[in-house]
Amino acid sequence: MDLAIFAQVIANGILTGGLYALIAVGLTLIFGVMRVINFMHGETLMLGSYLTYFLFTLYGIDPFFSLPLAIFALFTLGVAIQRFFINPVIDAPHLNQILLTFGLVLIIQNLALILWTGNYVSMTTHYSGISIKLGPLSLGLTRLLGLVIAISLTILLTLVLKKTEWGKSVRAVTQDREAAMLMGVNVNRVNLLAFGVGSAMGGAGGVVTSMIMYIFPLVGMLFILKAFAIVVLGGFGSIAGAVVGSLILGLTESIVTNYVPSGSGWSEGVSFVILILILVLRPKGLFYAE
Amino acid sequence: MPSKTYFRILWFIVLIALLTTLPSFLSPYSLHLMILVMIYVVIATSWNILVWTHQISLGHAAFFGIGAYTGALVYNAWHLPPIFDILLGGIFASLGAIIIGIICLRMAPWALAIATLAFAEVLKILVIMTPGLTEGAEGVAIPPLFGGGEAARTLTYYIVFAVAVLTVLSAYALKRSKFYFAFTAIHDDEDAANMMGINPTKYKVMAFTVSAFFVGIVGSIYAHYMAYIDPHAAFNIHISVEAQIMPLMGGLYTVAGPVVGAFILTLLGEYLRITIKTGYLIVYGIILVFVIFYLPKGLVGLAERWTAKR
Repeated sequence: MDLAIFAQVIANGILTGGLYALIAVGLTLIFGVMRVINFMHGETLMLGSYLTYFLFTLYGIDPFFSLPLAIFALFTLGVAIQRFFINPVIDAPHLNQILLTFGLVLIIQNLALILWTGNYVSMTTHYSGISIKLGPLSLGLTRLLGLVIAISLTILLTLVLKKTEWGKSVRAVTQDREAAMLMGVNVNRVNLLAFGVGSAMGGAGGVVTSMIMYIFPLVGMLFILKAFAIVVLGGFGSIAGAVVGSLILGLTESIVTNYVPSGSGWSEGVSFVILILILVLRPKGLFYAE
Repeated sequence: MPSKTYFRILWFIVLIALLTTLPSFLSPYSLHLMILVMIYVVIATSWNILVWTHQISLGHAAFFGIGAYTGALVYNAWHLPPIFDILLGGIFASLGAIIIGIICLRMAPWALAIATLAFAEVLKILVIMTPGLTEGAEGVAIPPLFGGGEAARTLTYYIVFAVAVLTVLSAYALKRSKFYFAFTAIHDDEDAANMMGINPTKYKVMAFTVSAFFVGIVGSIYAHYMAYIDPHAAFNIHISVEAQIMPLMGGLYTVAGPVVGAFILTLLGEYLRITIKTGYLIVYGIILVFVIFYLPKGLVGLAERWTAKR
């Protein structure tokens, strides 16, 4: 086995894992707080990437300036969706909530399909082609920047959850909804902000996605299934678990792609196999402490 | 109570008679649509049986796909009369259900939902990646059922119609049996049911097995009828989605609900697909949101409320 190639495979896996983390962290935050399987999370990614794409192609705005815009826009959308769609059925059976987010997926996805057609689009910034040589490694600049964005935002979110009043109430609700409510936590407000922040993370994931790959109206579906696998892998509601799960998935996919015959086809299935294995062996996720 | 039962039986007989005479005055295209309607009646009804035990499947396409591929591959290998591989499609789908059921024994409903979704995706990738056995992404061609043509279509219609009636009757019988009481007990409070000597695991796996069996059968019939099956059609996430939306629209927990939902949504879906073309599924999304907000008991619930008022 060539060590230089192996190092490159590992590096690629970490870069992909970073993007996955951005998406999975938001999803796990929403699940932890609200216990809702949010299918719509993939669509926040799709909207974030189209926003970046149009700002760039129409107005020449660099993706890095779109990042705060996308975060703000998707935060607002997330809050609105929680307020007007999820909240009214928060006490309904789980099935209704799952199907409701699925209904929203169908609406948003097909609206995008009607407005922007099903064609694949991608954008090329002046730094798109640059790759950085690091010893034997060659790392695409945009993918590296994507990883940096992912790490910074996740650290920021962790700090917010640890230090701020809102963050503490989020963690309280994640641990025990009823107890938090009895302690005077405004669960409604926590829900609202958690959905907003989670969606904003998805939007940021979209910005990064638009920089490194082609986008199309169904791109969210591609990521949401993997994000589910990661969230199950890391343990529902655990941010650290989601990060580690993302890296595990990114690395495994990269290794399978490179070392298994016709691996790029098989690698698409890795996430689902991991998911089923974890559900069998450790149904509460890798990082669930009893 | 008896008069209501008689009324229902009468309704059922009239409906059956009407549907039996359909092929004599429908165009080939309309008959094709009715075959699809019947297939979806089976899928939606089967999915609804699972909900009785508080289990949500987001992966019923897995059982449809298992049935379709069993039908296609077994027929091409041995050329037995189709009835064998159609039944085998159901049996294999049931085996898949038992496996996934045992894996998911103590899983929370949401975890089961995601696991079933993953199960269908894994099977799709497995089929694509093993062309030696399944002919991969290119799909499998099968000689058309009964030699093809219009007479064959009519015959196919009667077969799926019969399977649909059988499925609905089974659901009805299940609903009136002691199993349903066990199911409802599990749904209401699993721990309490367990305490009372009902083994939730047994009933859950049983519901899964029955549900998958019928879906596998129509999967196999579908492959024969279309004379071709590929992994994206067989394990289409769309089938899993329709399986949920139809019962929800018609009325969850009822026997008539999934049937009503399957009729309306199959025909509406086809109409929208032709008229709107791009993005027609947006209408599905709007219906889904609307039903969850304003018709939590579905159309059947609405009809019951309406008749109760008069």
